[in-house]
Amino acid sequence: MLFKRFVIFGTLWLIPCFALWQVSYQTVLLTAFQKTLSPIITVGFVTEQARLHNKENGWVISTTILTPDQPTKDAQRVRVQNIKVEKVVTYLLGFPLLWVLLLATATHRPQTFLKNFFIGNAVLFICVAMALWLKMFLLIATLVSEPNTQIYLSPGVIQTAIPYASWLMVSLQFVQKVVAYICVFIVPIAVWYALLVAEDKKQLFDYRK
Amino acid sequence: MNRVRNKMQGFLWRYVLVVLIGLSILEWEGIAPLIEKFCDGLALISGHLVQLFDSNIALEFPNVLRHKNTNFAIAVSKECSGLSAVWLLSAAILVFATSRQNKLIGIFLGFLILQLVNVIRLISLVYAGGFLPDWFDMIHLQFFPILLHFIALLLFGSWLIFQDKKYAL
Repeated sequence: MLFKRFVIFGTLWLIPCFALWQVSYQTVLLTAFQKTLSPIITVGFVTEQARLHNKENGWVISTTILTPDQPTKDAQRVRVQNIKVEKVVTYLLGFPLLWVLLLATATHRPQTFLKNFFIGNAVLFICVAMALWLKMFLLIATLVSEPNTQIYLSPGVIQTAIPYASWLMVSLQFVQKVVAYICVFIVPIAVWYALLVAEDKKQLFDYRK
Repeated sequence: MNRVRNKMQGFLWRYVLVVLIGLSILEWEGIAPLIEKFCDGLALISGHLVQLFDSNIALEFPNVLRHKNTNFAIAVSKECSGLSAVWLLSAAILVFATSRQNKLIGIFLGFLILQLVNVIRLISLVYAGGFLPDWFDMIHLQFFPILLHFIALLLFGSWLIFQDKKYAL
């Protein structure tokens, strides 16, 4: 497969893939991620401190974390941490890039497209799900680590939250930023390359063919 | 085949490591003033470049580009530097086993081309914000990042061919 041909196919597929992603990320991708993440968002906590749901076209994490300004359950006890949907969407930018690469390859070799498309998207989906989970974990951990924070467990049962170590929070915030980059720009390319058949790997950058 | 696989795996690990180091440096507060100066420079170049074709766009020092008719303005900030895409490309070139000269040529040309695309992006964002406000976020936050990194990938592919015409991964 000539690199030049790949460049042309890739460029031609760029706009259609982006358009497909635009029309599908709300209804398919974000919904799928929400369904996947909802049950695991509480992992790492003893009780359910967080719940993920849609609100005004965005994601909202509802928590039962009581912050000092709202310390009793009679007051507004549930503090809601909003995650703007735009921020979540940026994690999904790897999908159109992966589709472009897979389709540009498939235009030349369509036999393996379906298998590659399925595996590629599955791998990227898992990576993005982990990155989003880390992002949400950090939002909750930041809330929990504020001074004098309490957690509402059940009526009448309020527990003092144990703050996370500041070095851990700083490190995780950095890891989260890096993971976002990796999910969006490195994983799609690495997955695409790994899925290329040996002959294409060999020919792709061979100027003589 | 195993040799190629090992080579590829080695490349990938080294690449991820170098990318992490580079992104850490870009995130480091100590380097923020330098990046700000770089962004001011990008705004200056974009402003002067677009004024060759359209005098309606004014540069407000140090880093704001404003369209006089629509009054829409963008401030060229750290996120607009395009340096992350440059680093993703440069890291791939750096860890690839080839001569130092080839690496320098690749990094230098890659930087120039990506920053040229970035300047075009900044100029088009001024127009997009004024004339296509509903599409601005999509163009700014979604389309251009993909385009920039897709171009970085193509540049790496082109460089692979350039650096050794007989090379095949």
